[in-house]
Amino acid sequence: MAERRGEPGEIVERALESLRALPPAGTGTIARIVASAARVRAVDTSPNDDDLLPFASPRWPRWGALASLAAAAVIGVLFVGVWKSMPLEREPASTLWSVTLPIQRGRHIYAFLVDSTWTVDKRAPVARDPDFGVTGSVIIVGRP
Amino acid sequence: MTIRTLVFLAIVALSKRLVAQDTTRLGGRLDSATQAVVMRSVDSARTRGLPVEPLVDKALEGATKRAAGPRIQAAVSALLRRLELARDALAPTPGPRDIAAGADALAYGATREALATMRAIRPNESVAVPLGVLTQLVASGVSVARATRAVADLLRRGARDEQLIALNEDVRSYVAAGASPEAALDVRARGLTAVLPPAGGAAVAGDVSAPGTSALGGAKKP
Repeated sequence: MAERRGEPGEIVERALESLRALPPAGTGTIARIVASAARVRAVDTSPNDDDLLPFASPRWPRWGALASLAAAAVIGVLFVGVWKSMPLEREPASTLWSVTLPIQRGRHIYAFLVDSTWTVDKRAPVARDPDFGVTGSVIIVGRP
Repeated sequence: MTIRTLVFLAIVALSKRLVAQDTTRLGGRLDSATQAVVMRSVDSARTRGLPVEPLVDKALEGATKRAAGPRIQAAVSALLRRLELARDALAPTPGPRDIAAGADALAYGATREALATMRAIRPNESVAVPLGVLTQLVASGVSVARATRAVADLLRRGARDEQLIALNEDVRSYVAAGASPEAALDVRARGLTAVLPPAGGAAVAGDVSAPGTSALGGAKKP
């Protein structure tokens, strides 16, 4: 699961394949991509290297990278931890969209919202939420 | 004004500030009745020394998933109970992440004894990842008892977090290729065991893995 600095990782590849598999987004389509990491959210809100994925973003070197997501004409919003939105940013001259954010150690649930439709990552493990009965994708983050 | 009075006033002010922060996070996404129930649960958790953020997160999760108010209320109340159970099972000094991970595992059917076992094996380290892997194995279709034994066995052998995560990923791959969840776990756990040292030390309190029932031994097919 962990990615090393400067190496294309499995997370990125999985995310790319997953988004390539989505229906093409038309002009003007706003696709919202959301994820949630509510499962193992901690009171400790001060991210540190011990808590995060070992992948270091050039933008925020102290933060871990969750994933890089690619799709044409997609505007992404990522829900993490506290169920608040976080926009994805499109990489220059590419179809790659990415976000860098702190991830607490543990199990996290996420999903894509594509045109307001809750969509799981087909390449990731899934789990049905026992409280609300909604299936989400799962990522487990550990210390290297 | 005495120092005691000042301290009391400071505590009251801090408490009000924390409540205001929680209310702000909810951001009007709940109806008034649901928000009142959630805030009562948050206050109760704070009083009992439990992490409150998972409760707020759960309410926001329900709102995001467009769950009805009563369902959100029930989910938050149930989570409060699970947090307390997890805190007690992971005693003596569980961190908030461990408590939340324990509550999550309980939601999927893990037992209090399973949590206590993980803590006994790892008394001084976070068990958030082992509990997360346990939870996901159960969510993937492995029985609670089998998943608990497997994770406990691997922890006893000193498996690191990333090895457990890799195991979970491999189980998913094997299941996707057509294997049953338990067979996939058995195969992958054997593979990981081969690179780990033998389990050492005495049996731990609350051990759910009785002699001869190691998940790594696996249930034999007739």
